[in-house]
Amino acid sequence: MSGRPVGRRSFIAGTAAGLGLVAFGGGVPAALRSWVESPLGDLTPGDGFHFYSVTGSIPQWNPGTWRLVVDGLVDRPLALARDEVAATRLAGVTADFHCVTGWSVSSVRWAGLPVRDLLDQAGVQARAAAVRFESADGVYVDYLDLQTARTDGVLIAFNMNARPLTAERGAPARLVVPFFHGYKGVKWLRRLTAVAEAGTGYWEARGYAADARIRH
Amino acid sequence: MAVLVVTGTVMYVPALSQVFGQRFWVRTLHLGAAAATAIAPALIAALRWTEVASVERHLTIWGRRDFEWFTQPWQVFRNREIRVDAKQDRSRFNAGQKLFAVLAAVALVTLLLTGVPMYWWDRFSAEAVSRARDLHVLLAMALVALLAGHVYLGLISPYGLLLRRRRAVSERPVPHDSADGSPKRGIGRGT
Repeated sequence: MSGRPVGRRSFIAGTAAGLGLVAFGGGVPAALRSWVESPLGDLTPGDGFHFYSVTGSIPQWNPGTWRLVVDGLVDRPLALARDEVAATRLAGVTADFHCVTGWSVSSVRWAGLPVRDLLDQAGVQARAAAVRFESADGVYVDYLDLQTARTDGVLIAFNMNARPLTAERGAPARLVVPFFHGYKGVKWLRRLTAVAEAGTGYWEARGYAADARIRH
Repeated sequence: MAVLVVTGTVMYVPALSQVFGQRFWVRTLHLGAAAATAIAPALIAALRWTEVASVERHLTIWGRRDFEWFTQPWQVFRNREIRVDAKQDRSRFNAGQKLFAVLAAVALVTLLLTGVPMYWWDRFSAEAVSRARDLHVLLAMALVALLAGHVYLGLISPYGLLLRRRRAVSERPVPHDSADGSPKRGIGRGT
C-alpha cells in the first residue's frame, strides 16, 4: 500500500477548522446555517423561536375562566381575569432571547405586567424570599428570588412583538426575565406563589445551572 | 445513528417538537445515543486494535489511483470503476469510500465536540454556545445528506444490486481476474 496519509491529515485539518469556527468564527457559522436553512421553509422556525415543551401537549385555556393567581405568602391573594389584564397599561421590554442550546432571537418586544407590581399589589409578606412560577401544563415550575423577581424588566408577558402571545410561545401569559436564559421563562403561566425559600426549577432538577444569567 | 438523527430532527423542527413534546426525554435519548456513538468506536478500537488500525491505514493512505478516481467521479453513478495500472497496489477501499470516511469522521467528531458547549452551556459564553450550535446543526444536516448519498450509492452499487436481487450479499471481495485488474463480469467495487 503506497501513498500519503491524506485521510488522516484531512481529518485533523477538518476537525481543527470546526473548532476554529466555534472559537473564532464570528458570524460565519450563523451565516452558513441561515444559508442552508433558507430553502427549508416551514421546517425551520419562522419567527426564530424553536418550540419546547416538557409534556406532550399545549395546555388549553378559556379566556372567560382563565385567572392568573398570585398567592402564597401574600396579604391579598389575587386572581386576575384576562379582561382585567387587558384593561391594564402594560409595560414593555425589548431584549434578545437566548436559549441555552445556542439559538437566539434578536430584539424581542415583550409587553406585560411587571412582576414587581403584582407582588406589591398582593402584599408580599416579610417571610417570603422567593416566587414560584407554575405552568398550566402542571409539570414545569421555576423560581426567582424576590430581588430578581422585582428587577426592572421582569414581566408576566401577554404580548410578543405587539401581538398577543401564541399558544406555542406560551399564551396566555409567560414569565420573561430578559437577562436570564429562556428556560427561566415559564410558559402557559397560571400561578405565582410567594414562598419562604426558592425550590428547584424543572431544568435545574435535571442538571441545568441554578444561575441562568446570560454570559456575554 | 438513527436515534441521533430522529431525536435531533424532533428537537430541530418546530412542528415535530410540538407533536412530541417531552423535551427532557428526547434530549436524554439524543445525549445517550451521542455517548454511545462516541464510546462504541473507542471500545471496538480498544478490543480489536490491530484490525481497526489496518482499516484506518487503508482508509487514510491515498495513492495515485485515488486521485485518478476523482478525475471521473461521475463513473460511480454508472457502476464503473476507473481502469488503472494493474501494477499499482490495489486498495481495499476506493477513493469515494475514503472521502466518505474522512468527511463522516470529521462530522462525527466535530458534532461531538460542538455538543460540549451546548451541554455545558453555563461554562461558555452565549456567543460560543451559539456558534457551536450553528455548526452542530450544519454538520448534522451535512452528515444526513452524506449518509443518504452513501446509502444511495450503496444501493446502486453491484453489492447493493446483488443484495436487492438475492437478499443476501457475500462478505468476500468481488473477484478480479482480468489482467488489467478490471472487475469480473463488469462488477465494480461499490461506493
